[in-house]
Amino acid sequence: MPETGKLNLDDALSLAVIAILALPMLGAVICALVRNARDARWISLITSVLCFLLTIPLLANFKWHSPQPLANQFYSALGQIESIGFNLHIGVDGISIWLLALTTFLMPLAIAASFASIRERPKEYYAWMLALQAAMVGVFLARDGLLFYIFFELTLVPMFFIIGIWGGPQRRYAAGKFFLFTFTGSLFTLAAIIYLGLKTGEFDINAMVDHARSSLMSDKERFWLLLGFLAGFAVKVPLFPLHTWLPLAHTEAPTSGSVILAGVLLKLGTYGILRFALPVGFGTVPTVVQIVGIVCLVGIIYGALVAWVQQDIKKLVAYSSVSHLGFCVLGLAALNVEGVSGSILYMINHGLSTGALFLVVGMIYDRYHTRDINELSGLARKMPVLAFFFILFTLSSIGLPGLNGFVSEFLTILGAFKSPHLGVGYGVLAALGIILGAVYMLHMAARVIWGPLKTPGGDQHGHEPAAHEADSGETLPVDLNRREVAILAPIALAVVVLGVLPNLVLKTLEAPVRQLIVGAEGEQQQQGISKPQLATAGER
Amino acid sequence: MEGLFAVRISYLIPLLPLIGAIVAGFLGARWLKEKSHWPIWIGVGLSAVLSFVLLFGMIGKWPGHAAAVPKPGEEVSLETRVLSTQLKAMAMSVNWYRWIEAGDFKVEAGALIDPLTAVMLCVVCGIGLLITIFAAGYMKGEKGYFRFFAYLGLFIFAMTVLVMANNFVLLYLGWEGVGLCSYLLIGFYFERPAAREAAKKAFLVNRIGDFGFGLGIMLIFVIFGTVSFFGDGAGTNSGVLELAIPGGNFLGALEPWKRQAIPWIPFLLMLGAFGKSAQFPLYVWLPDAMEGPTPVSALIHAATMVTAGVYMIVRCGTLFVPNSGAMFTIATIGTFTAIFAAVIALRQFDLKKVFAYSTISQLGFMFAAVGLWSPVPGIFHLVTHAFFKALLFLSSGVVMHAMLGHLDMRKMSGLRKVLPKTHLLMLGGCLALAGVPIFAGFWSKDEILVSAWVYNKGIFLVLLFTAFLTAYYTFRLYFRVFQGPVMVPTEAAEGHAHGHDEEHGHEPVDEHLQGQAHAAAEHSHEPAIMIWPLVVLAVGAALAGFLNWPEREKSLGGFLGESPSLILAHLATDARYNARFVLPVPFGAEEMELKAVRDQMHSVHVVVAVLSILAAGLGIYSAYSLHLKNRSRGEELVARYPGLTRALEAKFWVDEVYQAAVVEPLRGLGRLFYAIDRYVVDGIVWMVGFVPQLFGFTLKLSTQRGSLQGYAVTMLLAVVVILLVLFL
Amino acid sequence: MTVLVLQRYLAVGAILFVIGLIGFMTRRNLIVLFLSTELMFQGIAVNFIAFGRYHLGQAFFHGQAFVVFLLVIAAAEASLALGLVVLLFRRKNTLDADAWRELKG
Repeated sequence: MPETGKLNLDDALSLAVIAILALPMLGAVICALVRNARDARWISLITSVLCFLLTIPLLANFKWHSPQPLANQFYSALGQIESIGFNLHIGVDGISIWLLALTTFLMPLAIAASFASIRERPKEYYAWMLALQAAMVGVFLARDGLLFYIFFELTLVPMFFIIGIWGGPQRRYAAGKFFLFTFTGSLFTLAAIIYLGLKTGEFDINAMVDHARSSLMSDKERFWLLLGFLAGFAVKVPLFPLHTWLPLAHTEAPTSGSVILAGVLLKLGTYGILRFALPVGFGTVPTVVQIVGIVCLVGIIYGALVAWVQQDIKKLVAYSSVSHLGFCVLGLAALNVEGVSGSILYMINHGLSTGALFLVVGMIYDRYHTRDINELSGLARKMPVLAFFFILFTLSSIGLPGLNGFVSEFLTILGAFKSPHLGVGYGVLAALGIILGAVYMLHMAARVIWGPLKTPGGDQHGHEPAAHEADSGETLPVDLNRREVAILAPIALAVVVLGVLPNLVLKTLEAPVRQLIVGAEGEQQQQGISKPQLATAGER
Repeated sequence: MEGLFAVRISYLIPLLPLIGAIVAGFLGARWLKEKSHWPIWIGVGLSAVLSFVLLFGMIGKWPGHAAAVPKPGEEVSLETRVLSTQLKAMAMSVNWYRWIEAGDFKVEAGALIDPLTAVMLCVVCGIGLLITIFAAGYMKGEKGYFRFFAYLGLFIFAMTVLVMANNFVLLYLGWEGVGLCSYLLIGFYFERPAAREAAKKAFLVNRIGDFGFGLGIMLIFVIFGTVSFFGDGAGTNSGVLELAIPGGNFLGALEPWKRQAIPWIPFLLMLGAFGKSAQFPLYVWLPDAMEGPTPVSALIHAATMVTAGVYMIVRCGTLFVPNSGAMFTIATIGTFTAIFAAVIALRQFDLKKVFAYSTISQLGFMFAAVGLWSPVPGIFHLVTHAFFKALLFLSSGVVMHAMLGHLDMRKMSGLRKVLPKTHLLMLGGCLALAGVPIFAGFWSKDEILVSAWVYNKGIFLVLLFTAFLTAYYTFRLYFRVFQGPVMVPTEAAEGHAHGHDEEHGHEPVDEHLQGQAHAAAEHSHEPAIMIWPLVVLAVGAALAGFLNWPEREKSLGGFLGESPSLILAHLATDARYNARFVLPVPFGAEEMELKAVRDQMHSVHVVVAVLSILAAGLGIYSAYSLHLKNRSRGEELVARYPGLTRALEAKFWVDEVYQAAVVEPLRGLGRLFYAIDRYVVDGIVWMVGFVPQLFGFTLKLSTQRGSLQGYAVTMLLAVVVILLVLFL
Repeated sequence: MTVLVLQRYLAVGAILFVIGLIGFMTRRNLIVLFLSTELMFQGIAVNFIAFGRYHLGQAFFHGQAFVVFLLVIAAAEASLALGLVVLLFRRKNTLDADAWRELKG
């Protein structure tokens, strides 16, 4: 700890990292203790906004061109348990900082989105939201395998309660299923982490990965480690046959729960694959990579077709996530810079556009209390502002060039196309997902936004009350109110900016991704090149 | 080139309409309202001025003949020719910023300024400007006026990006961008279910094409390692179109599988072109797209967007030309589409539908031209077609405006007297479309026919017959609508929302009983804001044919021939056909220097011109006899072939086939998958959970009885057992 | 000599434990059951101290420290358990453990 008064920039930023983790925890406790719901709302909102504001100087001062691209920056060691090599180390690197930014960016929006729709037990709700934020942030900040796992599992608890208490009619079942699915899978991951950590002698992520790549480990061990990691992360992502918890959880969760679920929680799975499965085993076990690729393809096409026949628009968006996350993991499986960078960008983009779509769907639901595609039609006439956002995020989701989705989608497919492990066939089949993605999204847009006006409340001529009563008693105007516009506008801005200037992110990913991959490629291809070590003593 | 002011600020050409669109879109609803056209007028207007400044600046720098093109038969090694910096005398690549960068995949946002781009920019911005002016009159009083103009601005932005892009990915951005605007504009009257379905269909059919296009781009990247059209101009030939020339070092050094994959590229790109330019299997969206407001049909679905496929193939000529199979496919599909759409147009009654099928047919002509590698006739026809088809669409817009939203030619007749100015304008457009000499369509169609004559007599015959059909259906429409006894519809059409309902809805019944012509005259205003743009277009439709007058020193063809795309493609053919002279008219003046060639071409031109004049005359005469002189004879003729008539009216059931063969099976598959999801996938998971539950339940019944002491005994026994196992 | 001493202490611990165990097995009264578990606790505590003293000598107090810890826990647990017993008694007016068989679930 630096002495007071002599705080230099690096130490201040390390403190900021700690604050990003600690503030939501503190906020959660305060929210649970304050007397009235209003205070809880504002405390949670302010806390999450503060966290986002703290993220900005991190992004601004991050050393993108550090010679060790995967080295930890803004690092702080909070404690350790020596006997088992467990270190309470937090920090960020070139990859996790973007996901951290995504989390802190989405969280205030999700909290603000619950203002109108959460009426029951609001204090607890906001407390759980902040707890969830702390856990998610912790996953991206953790520099230690065990710490990573602790936070990874810790996200389940708040989400379980958010779905189980504030969800729809089948909330209990959904919450239970969500919990059991992800929990069961990640037990294997825990086993893999413990095995690898014990072999390494410490649990530092980079050191573990270095050890797994070194000749000290046999291919057979790597194979089993890979399976262990995949078991947990594939459920979380979710990949094809393990996805059934997702549509249910999404449909039953309250709006902001869905936003965070789609926006960040699913990314924990892909992030885990990126951090552990990819560097440890993807290169050495090509068969598994091919199987993962095939599973992704099945997920892309299957998810898209199933999404197309949904009646519930929220479920439709949920199945679209199954399809989209297929692209995301396909990019990781491609194991080249294009694919993996594209995949990381995909994580951010999917978080933004799908999160935003859930928000919009929630705003429709707040007004009409239905999400049935047959009961809604022509909302553009009554709600032009909502229609604007809806169409914008739809376009982002179907990968229209100029918006964010395109770049990442194109790169992941290109990666698969180019990859020696996967190849042209994978690229072609994945590209089919582009067509199908447009099919189901435009199907929804055509039914809900375009067409003759039809809403469950009023008759077809739009003679309706000028305002709607939300669950919270807040009166909602026909179109979006300022709060709702203020929620959607930042995402819309991000969607456009990332579409026009994707290089803001991509440029910074190049070096870290290259380093992750070089070691992951098979021994044969990398002969003569000494493997870079991820763990670097200098930076720690 | 570098010195040109317009080149330095070329980024403004797409940017200004975009800014206009943003201003109109965000300020239009609340503040600009009825003045929402101003940002677009200013933005597109400035872009149009810039485009013309650019074009004339380039023409000023152009010596007048293609100096860089080696003479046929001249022995120059390929590498020297490609490296020749003279190739790029009239072309320049400007990079604005690095758009995407991941690994080796680097994409610049940047412009390629060459004659092809300059010509396309003038067509897009020039006609775009005329149509936005027209639209201000046409769309007056519509709901969502600002929205319409915002979309138009966005469209011009995307289209200019499309024609200016210096690499495939940016081209793809423009490509999808115009598709989006097309989607939004077709669905402009979104409350009509037909409009929303048409919009969705347009987007999805285009997406099928874009699927191919996108894969093509990926394949290009994997093989060539870049997506730029041309290198940076500093003596390196690092662009795709330069590397793709057969016989070059690059192709020779490629891995075998990549060399084998190269022939796939043109087929994939072609799929995109077929989707965007409405060629045969993927044309189905264009007739439906007429649900959009008429200015949109004129701008997007006739003049500019749908020609993007032609532009793209010409731009990427180097990739297409060496692949005779691909070229043959394009030519065949183009020819087939030309005649197929013309046949359907014979029996359409909606004015806009006739012109829609006519557009498909004319695009078929252009594809036939580029498929025979006659890029100049293709682009030439693109330019003239942009003029006369925009004119025809806008004129029918005026008709629709005056006829209370009706477009059915069975409900109107003799409009010559009701809409005199429009009648003249429409006549000019029809003459150009039918290919009557002097008018633009004649010259460009003639050049396409000449290429067909030289390469493939079969294609020539089909196209000639199509020219006959074109003249027939064009004048069928003209004679029915504008000639003959006066007849106008009196009831407003459903969904007609031009503000007439308020103005004329309460007209007393007896008044229009006094004379329909009188009542119609009341309706039919031809406001100046709508007529003047049409006059400009009509002048273009009449005179654009002289742009490529073969005897001129600086013709369109010669100018286009300076584009590196065309020069390199020429080299590619050369290398393949071993210097055999295969190009009749691509390079205007340059080719004409060979006297023998010129003479031979001249006689061909004369023969073809005579034949096409005959075809057009025959078509117009048949239309005259069946639809003006004796209208009942036409009906008798129709009644004699009921099966054919039904097939034509049902448009050969192509939509129904698509629905039954593609949409329904896929949707069924979706339902099946959903059922599998709920019962099979989830069922398996449930089973996995059920086994431990069953086990636990059994244990509960057998051992868990609630007796505290019982549990204690069990624990004790267990400890004893464990100890025994451990120590014995 | 010391071996003999250790065994004696262990014997005391074992006797206490077995008394507690038998009491727990045979009696029905909840309070008596509870007393029996406390007896078992004490038996174990004796063991702790005996082993601690035997293995670590006089210089270290790990065994004793553990016992103090254990006693505190036991006291906390006792207060909780007796509170529960009182509540159960109020419900059914009996202290018979078998009266609560339905808690098996």
